[in-house]
Amino acid sequence: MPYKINIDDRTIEADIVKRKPLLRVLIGERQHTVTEARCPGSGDFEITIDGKIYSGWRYASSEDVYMRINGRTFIISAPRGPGELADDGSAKNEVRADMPGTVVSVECKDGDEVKSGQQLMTIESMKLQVGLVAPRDGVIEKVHFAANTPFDGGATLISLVPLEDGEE
Amino acid sequence: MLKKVLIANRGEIACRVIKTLKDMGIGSVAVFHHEDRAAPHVQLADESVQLTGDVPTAAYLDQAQIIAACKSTGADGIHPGYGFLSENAGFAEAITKEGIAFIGPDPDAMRLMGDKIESREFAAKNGVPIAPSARQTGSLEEFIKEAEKIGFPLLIKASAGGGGKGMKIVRQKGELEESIRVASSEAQRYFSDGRVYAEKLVELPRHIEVQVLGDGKGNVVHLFERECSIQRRYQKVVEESPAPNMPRDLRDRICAAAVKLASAAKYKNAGTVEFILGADGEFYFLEMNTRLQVEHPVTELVVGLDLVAEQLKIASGQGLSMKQSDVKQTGHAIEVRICAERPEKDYQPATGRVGVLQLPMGHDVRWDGGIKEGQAITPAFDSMLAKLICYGETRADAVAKMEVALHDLVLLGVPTNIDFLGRIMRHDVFKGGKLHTGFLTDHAESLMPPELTAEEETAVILTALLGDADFRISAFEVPEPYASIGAWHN
Repeated sequence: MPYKINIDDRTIEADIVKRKPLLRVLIGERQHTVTEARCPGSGDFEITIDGKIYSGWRYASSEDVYMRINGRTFIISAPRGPGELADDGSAKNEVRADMPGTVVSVECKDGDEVKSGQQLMTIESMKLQVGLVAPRDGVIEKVHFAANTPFDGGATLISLVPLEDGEE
Repeated sequence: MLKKVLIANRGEIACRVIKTLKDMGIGSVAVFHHEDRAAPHVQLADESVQLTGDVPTAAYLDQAQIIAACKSTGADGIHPGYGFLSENAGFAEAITKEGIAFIGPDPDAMRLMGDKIESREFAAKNGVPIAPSARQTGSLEEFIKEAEKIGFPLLIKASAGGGGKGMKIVRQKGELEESIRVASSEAQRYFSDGRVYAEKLVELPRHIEVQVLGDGKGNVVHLFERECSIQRRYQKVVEESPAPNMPRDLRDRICAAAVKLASAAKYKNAGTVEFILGADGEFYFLEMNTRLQVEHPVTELVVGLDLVAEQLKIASGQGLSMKQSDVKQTGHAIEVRICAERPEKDYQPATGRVGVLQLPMGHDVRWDGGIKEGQAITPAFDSMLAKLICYGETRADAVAKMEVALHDLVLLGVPTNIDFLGRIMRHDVFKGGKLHTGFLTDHAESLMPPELTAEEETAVILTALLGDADFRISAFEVPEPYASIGAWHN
């Protein structure tokens, strides 16, 4: 049963092939050997992969893993272990707020047919105005916040439904 | 000299001011909102006073509470930093009445320079070049007609504005009326003042500004220029001094224009005169900021002065501590603003927690920060977390040091623009010093993060997994017979 790791828009599977004498992990189609691993959840790490040493810093929040490797920062969502629920794609039916803010203006209304990428709403968070766009083609099911209304981080601002039954 | 100074600010600038107060043996008082109770500026100051507010920013804007904090601690001066109350003439007046020194200009100069229209007229009257413009005096129709006369493209700007808020570019006649309407409504919302004006748009503009110090009696010295052309959303990202590829005589003329303006205003304390410089070598007055700027460190490094110390001396009535001929610009300094944001997603502001913070080291590397490990980065305040400044003998030297410093800087737990800044430093056009304010837009594609190599991807995946407690248990601690069964723990 593999672990799932999301990098950008891709899901990569990784599985433990062998534990002893050395840890071998299958990533995609390739096996890798880990010989040394000092890798706390947060702090500096050093691991040896296929004989090459990698060192850097790691920090895990409740959702994401931040890694600083060779002068570059990587942020990925925390790996999902075997059996943990997969993303069912329902997020694409909602436009959510990452952080609290205020609705500046609404550029769509309930029942509107919208195209992926079309601007639906303008919000202001942290003194910056940001346009929110449709994550997919669809029909506006509900606009949850009117202009000049404040919202909390994580709030669903707009819900979408697919265009027609069976079409996706 | 002032004995004890209250800093009516937070974050990196509060820390920056406190450092100079300590150097000069002046007492320091921090103010803070509950959300900032463990923030570095509170820990650094000699004393601190908690302010309350419906929202955190309101606390730092509450004049009555700040005056009361001065009285309870015996502070005889207030340093406003930048933002918050720094350009509030009414506040400067109110505290002066209470016998507390405002470490900044006189209220009249703040009012004059705080109004974009008045300050432009003042500049024009005093022989400082301004861009052709039109303002609304009568009906909207008349304003549109006047604006058209300037020619396209043109800019619509908020009279009371700043930071690009309420600003619109108009490329053709058909867009004019709608742009005026939008700019005016934005201006109304941000500044409670819907007045806007139209101005010639300078193509491939460079943002050049001049640091000045005045004694309030008409004596003004300039501390040379800063180039701040690398901007996103009209906000500066990278600043440097001197401006690269600028002929000596042009630099002299711009600095002289700044001194002329500040002298005419009998400007007191530190200020910055901002200009826009076109590809044709023509420059126009943009605005004057009547406060210490975010990017003041680059000037400090090339002229060898502590600007906060100079501010304190002027506010204490000691006047200017140098003549123009004493000021020399030596070497090159670059500053980058470290922000909690996602540059690859249209610079969306980000939140999180400072989980790991490791600062770069080096003789010519300066960190002006106001964050520490464990601190939450919330949407309550500005997204700028810190500034990293590097000094070198030449521009190439300073850029090379900045590349190393950005490589070594580790800040994990909130998305930041650190790697993006590194890509700017490595960009050929930036290295060539051919800058203009459209740089980030023009080169957006080549500034995007490169694809992960297969090797990087493997390292990322294994680092993510090996630090994960569940993975470690199943990789290292499961007795072999059970482990072979597979996902036993489900």
